[in-house]
Amino acid sequence: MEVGSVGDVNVVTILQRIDAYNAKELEDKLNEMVSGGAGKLVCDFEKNEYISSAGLRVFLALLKSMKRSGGELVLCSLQPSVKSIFDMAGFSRLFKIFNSRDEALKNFL
Amino acid sequence: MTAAAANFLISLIDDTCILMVVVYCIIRTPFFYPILKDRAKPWKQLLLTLFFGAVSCYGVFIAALTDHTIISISMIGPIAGAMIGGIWVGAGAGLAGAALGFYVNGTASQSAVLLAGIMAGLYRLRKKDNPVSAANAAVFTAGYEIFVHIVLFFFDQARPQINAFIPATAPVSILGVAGFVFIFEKLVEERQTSASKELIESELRIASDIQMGIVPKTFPPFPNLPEIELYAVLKPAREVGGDLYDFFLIDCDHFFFAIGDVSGKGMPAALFMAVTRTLLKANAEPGISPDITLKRVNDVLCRGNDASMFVTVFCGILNIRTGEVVYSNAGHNPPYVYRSNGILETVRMPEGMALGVMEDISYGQDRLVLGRGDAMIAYTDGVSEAMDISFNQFSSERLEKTIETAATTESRGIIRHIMEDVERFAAGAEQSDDITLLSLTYTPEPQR
Repeated sequence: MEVGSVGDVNVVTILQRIDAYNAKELEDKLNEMVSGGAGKLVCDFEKNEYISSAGLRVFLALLKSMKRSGGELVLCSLQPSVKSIFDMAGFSRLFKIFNSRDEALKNFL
Repeated sequence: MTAAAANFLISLIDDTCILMVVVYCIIRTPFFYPILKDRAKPWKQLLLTLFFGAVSCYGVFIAALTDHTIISISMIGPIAGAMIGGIWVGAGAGLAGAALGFYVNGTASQSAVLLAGIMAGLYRLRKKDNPVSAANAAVFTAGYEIFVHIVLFFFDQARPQINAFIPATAPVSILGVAGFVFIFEKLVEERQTSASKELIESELRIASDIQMGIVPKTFPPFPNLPEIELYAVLKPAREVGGDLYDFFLIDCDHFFFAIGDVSGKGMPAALFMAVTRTLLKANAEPGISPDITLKRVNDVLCRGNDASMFVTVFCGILNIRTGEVVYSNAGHNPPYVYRSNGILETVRMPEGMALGVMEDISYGQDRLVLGRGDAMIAYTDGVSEAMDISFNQFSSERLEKTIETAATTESRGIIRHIMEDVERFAAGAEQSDDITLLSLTYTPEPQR
């Protein structure tokens, strides 16, 4: 997982696979960032090819905790197969999803 | 230190090492740990006393071969015995060693062996319930050696030429006692770890049995309902899992069925699964459509769901008189209908979010009609995402092909056919997610 930042926006590149085996690790890392005061977060799914329900749970929990703390989480660059996983679970309605990283960053301008 | 004294010390250390190896082998036998467990019981104290008494006597025996006044090696038994078994074991072992020593060579210095056991026992008492570590035992032994040699220096002038290098034998007792305590410590630690591991494993096994008991597993489930031929499998990736299915009659015409998949695996998923299944059953009532059932279950699941767990559920109600299925969906992957003429259709899904995510939302509903011999096949993503050893996924495309090659639309046959193909595909790769399949074939009597 790569972490970068553009201005005060943190950008996280999500791994190729998120499943039950690495979901916990991802959750811990993201929680650490959020508790460290990352109020604006972009999760870039460009490299992600697969996310399991355990992975979806991580993003759902992150979305909830960021909303509580007044932060904002957006997702971008979802591959069609990953987007369909979000669609299937009805999660596309919950998240702000952008087509590219640039569009996601513009959201915070 | 002279060369003779050095050789002498080395030979004593040799003897101590042999003792340690023998003791190690004895305590590793299956008979020993039960004695060490609950060692405060009188008969176990007696056995430990005999054991450490024998160790002390071994020290006397070794000393008798070389120099009678060497008591360091005889003190290992009583001190280690006291540290491990308590004051009575220490005193008993000390008495045995001292008595034999006195019988063999008659010197009063042997009383130091008895005193060693008693002093170590007092030290043990002072530690109360805290275990004595090997380092503590070594420090105590060193202190006691110094004390003994000071006393002997003043009162036992009989063999001054030996006394000159007696302090050099202290490492033998320190090494011996520390080694003993270390070996025992490790044994107890190891057994406790394995005991708690076994406890967790047995609880998991019970949890697994309970969970498998939650879902109906008698097939055919309704021998006197000829209209329904149903089969289902649930195969968790671990002992317990987060998949579920259920089915039951709501009234004499309406048959409810559901399949679901909780996010994640293991115990948290299993608990969430059990709650979901219970809520579904409680909210599938006569006159209540599937979308309302899902809405009610969702609202309850959302309350106090701090872990952000969620569950995808597909559920439907089959009218067993007409073959019509009214269904609703909460984020689950679409089932298939395998028509009796061999055509496979993907069920059109109404929109709906997984349960437990957001309160107070509504769910869509749709309907389809099953003809005679048509099967409706629902599954969880553990099937389509089953992986082979190179992490390739089984995929829904392959699942569709597999269903189409089933020679039957009989549910039991279809599911067995799919499971065989998934197993062939995985080819021994570890199952990564729970696998659940439910198939329902509509089999009304032919109309006359």
